[in-house]
Amino acid sequence: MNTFSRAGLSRSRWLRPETLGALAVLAAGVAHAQDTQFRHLPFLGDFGSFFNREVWWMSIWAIALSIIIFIGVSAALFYSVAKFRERKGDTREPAQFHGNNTLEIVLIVVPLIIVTVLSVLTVRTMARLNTNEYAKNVGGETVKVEVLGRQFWWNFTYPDLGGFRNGNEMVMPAGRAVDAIVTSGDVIHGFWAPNIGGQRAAVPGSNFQVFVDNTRPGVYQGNCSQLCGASHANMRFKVVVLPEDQWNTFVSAARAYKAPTPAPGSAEARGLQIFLNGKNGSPSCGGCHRVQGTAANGAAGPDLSFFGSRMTLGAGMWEGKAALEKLKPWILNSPGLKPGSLMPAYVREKTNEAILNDQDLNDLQAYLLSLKLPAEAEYYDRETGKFSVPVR
Amino acid sequence: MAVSVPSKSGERPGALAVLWDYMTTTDHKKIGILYLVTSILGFAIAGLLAVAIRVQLANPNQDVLIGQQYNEVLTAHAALMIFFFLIPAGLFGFGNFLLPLQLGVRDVALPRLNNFAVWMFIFSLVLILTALWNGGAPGVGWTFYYPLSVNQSGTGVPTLMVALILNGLASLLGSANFAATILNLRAPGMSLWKMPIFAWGIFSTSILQLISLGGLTAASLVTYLEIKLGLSMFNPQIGGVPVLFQQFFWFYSHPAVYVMLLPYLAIAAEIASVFARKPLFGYRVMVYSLMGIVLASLLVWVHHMFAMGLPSIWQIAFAIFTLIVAVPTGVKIFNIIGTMWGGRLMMKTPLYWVIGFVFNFLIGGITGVSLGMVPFDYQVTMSYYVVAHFHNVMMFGTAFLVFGGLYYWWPKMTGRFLDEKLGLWHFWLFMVGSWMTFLPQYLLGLLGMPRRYYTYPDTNVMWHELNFVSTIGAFILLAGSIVMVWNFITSFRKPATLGPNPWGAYTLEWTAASPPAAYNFAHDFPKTFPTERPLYDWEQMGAKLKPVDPATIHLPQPTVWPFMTAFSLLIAGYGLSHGWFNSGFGSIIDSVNTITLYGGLVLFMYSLFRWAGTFEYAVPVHHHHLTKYNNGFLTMAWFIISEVGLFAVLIAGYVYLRVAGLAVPPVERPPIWLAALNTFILVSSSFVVHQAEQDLKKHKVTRFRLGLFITLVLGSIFTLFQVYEFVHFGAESDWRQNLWQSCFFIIVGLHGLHILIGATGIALPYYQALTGKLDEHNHGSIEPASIYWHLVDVVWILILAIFYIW
Repeated sequence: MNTFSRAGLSRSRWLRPETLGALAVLAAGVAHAQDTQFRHLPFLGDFGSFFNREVWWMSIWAIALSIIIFIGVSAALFYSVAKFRERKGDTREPAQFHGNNTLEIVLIVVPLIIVTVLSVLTVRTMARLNTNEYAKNVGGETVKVEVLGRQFWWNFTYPDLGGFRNGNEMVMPAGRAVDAIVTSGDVIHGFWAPNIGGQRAAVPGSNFQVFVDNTRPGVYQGNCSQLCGASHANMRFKVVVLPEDQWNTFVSAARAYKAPTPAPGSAEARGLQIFLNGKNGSPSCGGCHRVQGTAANGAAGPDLSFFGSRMTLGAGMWEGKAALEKLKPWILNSPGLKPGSLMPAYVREKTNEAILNDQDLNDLQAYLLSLKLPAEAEYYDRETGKFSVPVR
Repeated sequence: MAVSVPSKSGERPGALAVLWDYMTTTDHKKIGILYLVTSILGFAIAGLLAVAIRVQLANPNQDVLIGQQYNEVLTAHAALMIFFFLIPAGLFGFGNFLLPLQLGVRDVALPRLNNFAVWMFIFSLVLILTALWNGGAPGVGWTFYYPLSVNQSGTGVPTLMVALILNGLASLLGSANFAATILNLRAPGMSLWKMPIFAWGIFSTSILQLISLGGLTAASLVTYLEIKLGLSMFNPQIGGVPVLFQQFFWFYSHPAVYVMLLPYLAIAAEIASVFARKPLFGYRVMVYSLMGIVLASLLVWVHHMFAMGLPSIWQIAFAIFTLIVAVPTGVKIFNIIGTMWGGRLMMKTPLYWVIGFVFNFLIGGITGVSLGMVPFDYQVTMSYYVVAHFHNVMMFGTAFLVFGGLYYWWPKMTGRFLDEKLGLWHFWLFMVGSWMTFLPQYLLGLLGMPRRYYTYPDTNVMWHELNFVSTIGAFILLAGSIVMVWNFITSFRKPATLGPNPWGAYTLEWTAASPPAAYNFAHDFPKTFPTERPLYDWEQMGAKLKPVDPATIHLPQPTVWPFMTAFSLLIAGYGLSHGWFNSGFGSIIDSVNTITLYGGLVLFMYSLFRWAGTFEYAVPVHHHHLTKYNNGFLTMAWFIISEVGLFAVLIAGYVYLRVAGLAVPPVERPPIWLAALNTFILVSSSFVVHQAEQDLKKHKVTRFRLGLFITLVLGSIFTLFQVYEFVHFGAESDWRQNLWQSCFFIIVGLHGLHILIGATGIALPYYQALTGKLDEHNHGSIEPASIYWHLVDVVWILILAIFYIW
């Protein structure tokens, strides 16, 4: 929290990002004091992020100039309407002047000066946000995350940390810059979690870089921002910002993670069978999903390695308890629940007869929920429905 | 169908007679009315779709419109509002009705081309509707970003592509027609610098359309070709760049924003001057700022793509130009206020709309500048902040001036006032409704709500509340629209009693009757134009209009062939959208596609030749024009700018792919010797056609005919060689696998299509010469055909250099 009060800029207290950020959060909190813990304030006024602080210091000048221009021009407009409107019986001919060259020049030169100031601010801020300056300013070691968008889910891969992956929930350390490399496997998506920084489009065949960070541990909301098909609105993700020690625990557990081998004959074991081999020739889960430490290594669906430790289902369509309730219907008929979902329905098209029976679904659910990180490395506890960090 | 219902009253013609009149008309006023009626219809449908969108978003997790259905509705909403309301209403609706009237002339440069353009515009809307029973409406957003557009196979995307190309062609022909009209046809004594500001608005907008529209055509064409043939410049699997699509698309679609602005800014200036009883404040500066906006708007398109990972230097350059656009736009706003300053403001509805516009546009302009500041844009691009911004400038910006223009010119168009009281209700409902609808959306953007979301969870702070307020606003807008329609309808209950100039306005359209007669003016104008306000000046000078006997005025004769030509393109467009040349007759659907495609093309040729074979005027008329060039030549010269733009966009894309090392030519390339031979053939044909043109001027008709015949033969030989080359090269490898080959077929193939178009163009005067349609009063279409042929020639030389030699 010590990096953003910059010399040379105004230090008056009400201008400080902390003050304004706190005010906004307070206002939201008052409005929703009785709310559940899963209430998010996705907001670019979250000054925990270096990105947002920089945008703020750039914008404050623009906002000030905008207010002056807005008041000046609208005052001129309304003054002329009030002063020069036709009164009853007034038939005088107004003065027929054709303009005023001096005034015109002033009205061109002044905006040009304003535009120049804004351009300088823009370029300066870009230089700080789009380069390694970002990491230098945030401090600490940069974490590289490969962000993959697909219709309609996200995968987050940590290439420098042994290459483990997480689907739809991006975990990152507080107070360190994340070097996000964004790409897509099909159409264009948009990676956007306003609390940690700006957007970057996920374009197939391209790897675009964006730096993001947040100093405050917490769970933040992210969304797809580019129209990508029927479930564009259902392509959400969580950003879980962990304190350094929790982050280290999570990383070492995730690196070492091997999916638990279920006891023979257990529900989990039967679930694993279907997961790996499918049923009656229907496509297997493992053909599309990857689970670290098993033969399942598909890439057409989100990574399920830590599924049992995750809070969301269907790329953020359901959270917490609802996610658990929807798990079996989701496995059975994903496109029926989420428009355009590419996960096959396990229902025969003609007869509408379920391919997976209740027993199978229970087994699969049991197996999926067993895919858990060690308790000390979990950021979400399915039993209590609580995150280890505040939801913001 | 052919039986027309006898009309009950003897005076009113039957519906079919009216329809026939509009199908065959060459009258710019009727054509303007067609554009305006279609635009209002487009606004109504798109507005209802917007209400549906707002109903879905009023509360979280609703299922009024979900998933793809919602995307289809939002695509239709945007496409209709842009291509069938804001672009045509100002430029072509008001433009057609008013430009010739304001210039004091009887029609546009090419009245029959105008008829063709308006019907093709209407048919492009009809074509889009056919997608409904053929794969469904396109649901890819009006921006149809690649690869989403090709990802949704089997939907209405190809229909939208064909419709946009036809719509664009209509738009270009209309724009070229306007530019030629302004240069060639003005009342004697009216110099360019004495034209009304609205005429400048139309001129600058037309130029902008002509320069930039190639971008949209290129984007639609390449998308279409990928869907139909697998030819691509964007496919990342063969090295293509998806973002290149956006470069093409925004190269037009950003300037399009100004196409939706400039005519309206000029309307605002006209209204401000008349209702303040004063001249414009800084007329020349306003004209320069129109041109300044045209120039600057061509250099800002990348600001739609700041989050697309482009090199920083690009982003910076385009950000600076984006900010600079604020300067000329600001000038326009300041000058509108300056025009009102010190005047005697008649507080009537047209002025209310202008005042409302200035205030709203001020906010839209300021938020627009904020979006030019790149780091802020990284946060809010593709969010509801952007949605609020562009509705701020378009919906409660320029659309306000559509209404302002309607209230202002309604007396001229119908001879009746619109009701003031209803007008104020309409205005205030729109003012309040717009603010309630869109101001919450700015906040939604800052609170992280992305655009184009059909649903949202109830767990995000304030999303529900703000969306709900926005929906209430949409219903207030709906109420305002109902008042507007009611106002239109009730105005027709009163008789048309108004004189020529009920507002006491200053420009020439106000000397014509209300509504104007077919010939516009039964008088000649004084030849002195001291300022852009001739009626005011003439009154001061005591100059009088000189009556002319209407019986001596000749107008172009009505003909159905331009309509039929446009109609044939609808038919062929249907086949091209839903089928392809090899659809065959395997099923009923395939047969329909095949018959419409080939049948449409045959009908096109037939109608076009019938059109060329019909005299424009029933009696010989001597044409006056202000430049030494005739109307056909001048219109074609302007139109050629758009062709250059189209090839420039595609070639720039290819050169980029080539320089970046992505498009690598295969070892076996089309042989250079054949291309060299073809170059020789084409260049020779250019000389031949030039000689033929000279021969016609010297009245050597036989030599003229021979020249055209030789040109056609040379063109055919060129085409045969190229077909041979394409078949050979296409068989050697798969163009779906090689980016260079794909680019080759797209660009060289498009040039081949231009050869066919050019040859058709040459065939028309040849046919006119053979049937004795060329004489001293009727020059036929040789001049435009000839320069078009030269263009095709020049483009070929460029293609030779970049595809065969490089």
